[in-house]
Amino acid sequence: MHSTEPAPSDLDLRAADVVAITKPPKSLWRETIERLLRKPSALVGLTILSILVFIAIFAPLIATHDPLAVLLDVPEEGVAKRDAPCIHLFGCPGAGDVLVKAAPAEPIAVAALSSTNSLMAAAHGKTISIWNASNGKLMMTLEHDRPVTALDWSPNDQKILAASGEELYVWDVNRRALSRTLEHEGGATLVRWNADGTRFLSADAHVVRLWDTLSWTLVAAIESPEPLLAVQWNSNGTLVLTASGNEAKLWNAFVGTEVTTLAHDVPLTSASFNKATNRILTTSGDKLYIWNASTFQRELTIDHVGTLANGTWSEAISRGIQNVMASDGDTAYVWRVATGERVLSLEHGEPIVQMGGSPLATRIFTRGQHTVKVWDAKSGDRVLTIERDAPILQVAWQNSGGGVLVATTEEISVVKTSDYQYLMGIDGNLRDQFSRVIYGTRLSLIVGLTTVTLAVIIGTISGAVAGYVGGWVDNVIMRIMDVLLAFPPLILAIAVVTVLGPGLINALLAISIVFIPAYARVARSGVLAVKEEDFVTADRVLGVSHARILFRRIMPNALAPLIVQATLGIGTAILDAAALSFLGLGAQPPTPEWGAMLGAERNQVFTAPHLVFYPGIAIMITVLAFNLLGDGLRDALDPRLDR
Amino acid sequence: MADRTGDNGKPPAEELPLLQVKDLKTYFFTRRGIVKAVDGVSLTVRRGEIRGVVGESGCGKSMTAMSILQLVDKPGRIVSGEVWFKGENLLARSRREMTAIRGKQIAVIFQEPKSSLNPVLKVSTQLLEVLKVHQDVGRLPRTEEAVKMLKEVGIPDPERRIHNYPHELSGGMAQRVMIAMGMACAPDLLIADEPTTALDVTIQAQVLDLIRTLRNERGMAVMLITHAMGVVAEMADVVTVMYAGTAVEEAPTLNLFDEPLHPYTRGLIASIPVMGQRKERLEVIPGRVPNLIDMPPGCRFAPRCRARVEHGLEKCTVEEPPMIEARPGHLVRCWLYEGDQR
Amino acid sequence: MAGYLLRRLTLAIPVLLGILFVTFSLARLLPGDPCHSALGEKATPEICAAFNERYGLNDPIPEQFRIYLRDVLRGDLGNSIKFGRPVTELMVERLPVTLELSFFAMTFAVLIGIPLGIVSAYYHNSAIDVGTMIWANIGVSMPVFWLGLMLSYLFGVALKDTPFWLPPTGRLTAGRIIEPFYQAWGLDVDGSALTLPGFIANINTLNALLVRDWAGFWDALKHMILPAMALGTIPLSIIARMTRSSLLEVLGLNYVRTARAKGVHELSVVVRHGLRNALLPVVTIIGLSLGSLMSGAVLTETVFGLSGVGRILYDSITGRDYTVVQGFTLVIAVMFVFINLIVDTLYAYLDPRIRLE
Repeated sequence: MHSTEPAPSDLDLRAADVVAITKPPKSLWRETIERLLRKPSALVGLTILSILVFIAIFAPLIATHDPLAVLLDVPEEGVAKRDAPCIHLFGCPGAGDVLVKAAPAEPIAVAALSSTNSLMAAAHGKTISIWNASNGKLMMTLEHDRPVTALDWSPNDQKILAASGEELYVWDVNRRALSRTLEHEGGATLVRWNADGTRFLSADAHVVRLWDTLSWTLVAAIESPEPLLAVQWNSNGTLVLTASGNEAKLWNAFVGTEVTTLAHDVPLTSASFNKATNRILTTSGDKLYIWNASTFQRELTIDHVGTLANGTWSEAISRGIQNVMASDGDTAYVWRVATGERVLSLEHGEPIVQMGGSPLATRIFTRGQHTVKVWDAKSGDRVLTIERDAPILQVAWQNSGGGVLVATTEEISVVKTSDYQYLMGIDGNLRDQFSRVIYGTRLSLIVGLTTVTLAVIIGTISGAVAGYVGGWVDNVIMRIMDVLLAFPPLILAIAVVTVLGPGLINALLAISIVFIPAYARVARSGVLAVKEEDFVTADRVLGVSHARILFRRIMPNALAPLIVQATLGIGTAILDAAALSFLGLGAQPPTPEWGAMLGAERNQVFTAPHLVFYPGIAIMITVLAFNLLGDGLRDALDPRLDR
Repeated sequence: MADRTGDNGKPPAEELPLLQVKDLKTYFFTRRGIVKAVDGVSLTVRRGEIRGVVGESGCGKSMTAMSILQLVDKPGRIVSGEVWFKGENLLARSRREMTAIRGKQIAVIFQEPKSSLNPVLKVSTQLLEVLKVHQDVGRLPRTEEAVKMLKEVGIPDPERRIHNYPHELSGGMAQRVMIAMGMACAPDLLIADEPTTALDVTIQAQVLDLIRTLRNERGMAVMLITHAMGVVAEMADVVTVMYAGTAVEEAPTLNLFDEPLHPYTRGLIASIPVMGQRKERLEVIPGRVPNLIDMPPGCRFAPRCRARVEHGLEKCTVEEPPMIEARPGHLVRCWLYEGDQR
Repeated sequence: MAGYLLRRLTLAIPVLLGILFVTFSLARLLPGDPCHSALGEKATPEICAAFNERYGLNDPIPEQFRIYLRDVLRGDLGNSIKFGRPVTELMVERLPVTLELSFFAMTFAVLIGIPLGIVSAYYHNSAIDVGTMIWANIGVSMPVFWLGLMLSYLFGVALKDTPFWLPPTGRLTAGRIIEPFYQAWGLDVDGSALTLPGFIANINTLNALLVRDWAGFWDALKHMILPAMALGTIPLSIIARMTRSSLLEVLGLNYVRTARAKGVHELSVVVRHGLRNALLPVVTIIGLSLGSLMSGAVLTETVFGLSGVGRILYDSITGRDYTVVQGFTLVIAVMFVFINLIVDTLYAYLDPRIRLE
């Protein structure tokens, strides 16, 4: 359509001869930008880009963690490796929130989380119910003839061992079928698998029986005159610790012979192995003893005023923490093993019946009749109080340390104890994925801009010179470009990086080289288009230097297609750089580069898809922004294509 | 001349015109506003007559033709009006019926013949396609028919030419092919949209000759759209002058050139260089065609009209004049002739 | 036509020489001396001297290049350090997988991309058009490897136990064997992977078709769907965009108006007059996409555990097996040149303006 202005009022029509009424042309740039801003796609692209630039600049403020820091060094328990992301928008469970809950009709007798924490089981009456521990869905019920008195999960979650009446039942959870029934005289109140599932023990008040799961036979029966206080496997399933009366004893698990006796002056109140089973903790009367589990020597004696009970460990050797704790009535005490000094005393408010240290020893729970309290293991601050009307039967830490299983007679529930939030989860090296993705923005934008800048500079100069000089120079330069163009881009980049050696800088160089021909061609055709124009000839006649003519007079006219090509090129460059990093040729771990992050976690895609999803979507959004902007620019600079 | 303002609705029974367009409006709905490309055009084409439609480029003359055929591309739309063809209103026809009419009863030839032919199809294919779509099912058109069609439009060596691709033809030849294509089904009306604009001067005359010869032989009507007053003078029986989307003057050719009434027509005629006549300068109409989005109120030509200034007419900028029959058979849309109306 | 082809072939020769020179220089630019990088760190000076003599590394560079040319023309691309076998053999062995994958990816891209482009152009600015173009834009912005990973998760894990489940890795279900066609036909031929029968039998879907093992064909096809989708998405998006813009341009051209004015039916106008011309640039784009398909194959095969050319290239990159990288780069580039040549010829064939020049 003609865009004309109405005739000005002072137009003298009487004497008019030729009157051209045209507006002076707006500056090209202003018009281009105006046209650009009318394209919705370009607007979207620009908006995304500005957000990305903002994120890149303020990455340290936005990121919640150091992108390189391994979170293990800053203990934040409750975070499993590759923990699923929790997005604040949809509400994240915080400390005290019940993650799952299940309430069977009959009173619960025993409950247990499976070894991998993916299932939980509770025995109520003659039935064992098994629920999915992440959503609380009832998976199956196992029926028995008599009430179930004890149950335990095998180490790999495959089997469940239950004591009911005068029999032991071994259930195959996968097949949902009974795999074995074993006679057990007198019934058992406790059953325990050893660490590798090759043996298990069953115990009542006075007898511990050891069973072999390969032959399904009774290996030995250990009788103890006094009622048993504690029965425990060591970590490799070779020893069994029992405590009764004044003695704690260690037994050979293969034959059931006594290995040693740890004698005490007064009756024991508790005995337990530490995690590595190289030490044994016992409490008796007002003393707490720590024994070496291989030499059977007493290593430490802690004196206390009052009667100690419920002795247990709070240790994380990898973090250099080894504490012991025991309760005296309403109060729990924590001592450091290395020095023997008391570090904490925790007031529970009702008689403590059970205590437990979280897997990384950052939290401690204490359990009374109706309340469970969770404490910070370092400061002794109370983190959480969980109250239940029904008597609490049992409390246990989740493997992740992020929650506790609380079983009462009426219901079992998993309560979250950790308040830490990770927007995009934790990667395989325990780093905060969100922070890494945020910092990745910086790297990707820098990569895109530098590669394209480099390629544009070299490409434009060579293309412009080729076009301007012509002749054999043109021929040689453009044939070189043809050769470079003959390679599929990524393949050439791979070949170049293989030679240069992997690394981000080398990848940048390789991608730049690959992109040069595109810009050379554009620059050359731009130069050729205006080379013969009158204003160039005029300059030449006036004796303006060639360089000046080329770069001050000609090139500005060839700028538009170069800008379009460059904008679109940034997107491709980011994609290619990510691909190189993915292949291990670009940015090297632990650099927070999206492609490298994808490459590092790609084998985890089936188990932790979010670790692959977020970096990829970040790449996509960035590339999309540049593509949209480039398309918009092309349409704006070439109105003919505007549709 | 019959009443052409189209106010009384039905065309007169005794002399049914082949084509009667009444108050046709075709607007383009663009982001910047509604472009009124055709804004109330009325015109008539009788059987056997050559009707010239003349005006500057962008005045809506081509769009009028496309509207008659209902080939207006988006975002354009025929907003209102009637197109009576052989006693039927085409605008009431379904798309399918219009497809059957196009090419069979109304044929068109376009301005740029070479780009109007499909570059990847042979001449014969494109010629025979017309027959194929309009003839009875089951009868495949034969190559000889294509040869015959080319022979009729005077293409030398037609047996060889039918196997050519469009890019192998010259412009004049391509236009002849277009005409052959148009004539294939012996239409009642041929719309020639600037048929000679893109051609060399000598070829122009040949093509115009061809059109006139065919009209004389076949007795079809021709609607000749052009911006060249010379072409109109030479070819047309009756002329409609269009300006900014509407007809401003309509008269038999001789009358129009003898005594142009509308200031715009006068300007147009004055701008034709005349052989043997010395002029200091060719006359020029000041200004440009107004923006079709915001048309000036009143007469569309008023901002550029010297006559308005000379006669000191105030009404022009306020109210749009109607078509006035200022002389017998000579209609004009100008307030100057308000008093001359019979 | 023949003249055109000849001219294009002549033009390709300097490019081919250039490619050879680039791969040749890549080998010479390798960090460390070629002897140790080829034979490993344990190579003694004596062995190295022999090695240098054997491969002419003591000769002047032009002579070395001549030897390299000679070797390449003979099909000798050197020996893989890691596998200890000729690179050519490795290539031939792995090529069927890549060919099969590329074929399905391209089929997927063309069969969906072109109709999408047509529909978008025909219903220009409609919701379908806008939606398609948004998806096409997203499609070209996705990293191939990420798309592959996400698809394998989505179809392999998230949709497990639904009818939409698809195998996320491998070429065939473990334990399934499709009888090689030459055996089924009772041909007495050498079926090793390096012979033509072996090569064809290695293309699982084709082989299954040849022996009419429908269950096997379906199984092989099912394993191809995800990789083909991952690899085909970028070309699909490009093709859809190109078809749309090209068809839009053509539909606004004069000869389409002529066709309409002739009374040709709308469908026929779009297909016969519009599409035929609009697809010309699409052919070029398809050719160019084949190049990006090669790059994509490296990533896709890695993600989906397909032992094709791309996979071995990846393994060689990680294993620093330079000869393989060099050889494969060369072969892929040469293939790319010839594909472009074929596409150009096809283009010329389709467009009489070029054909009859």
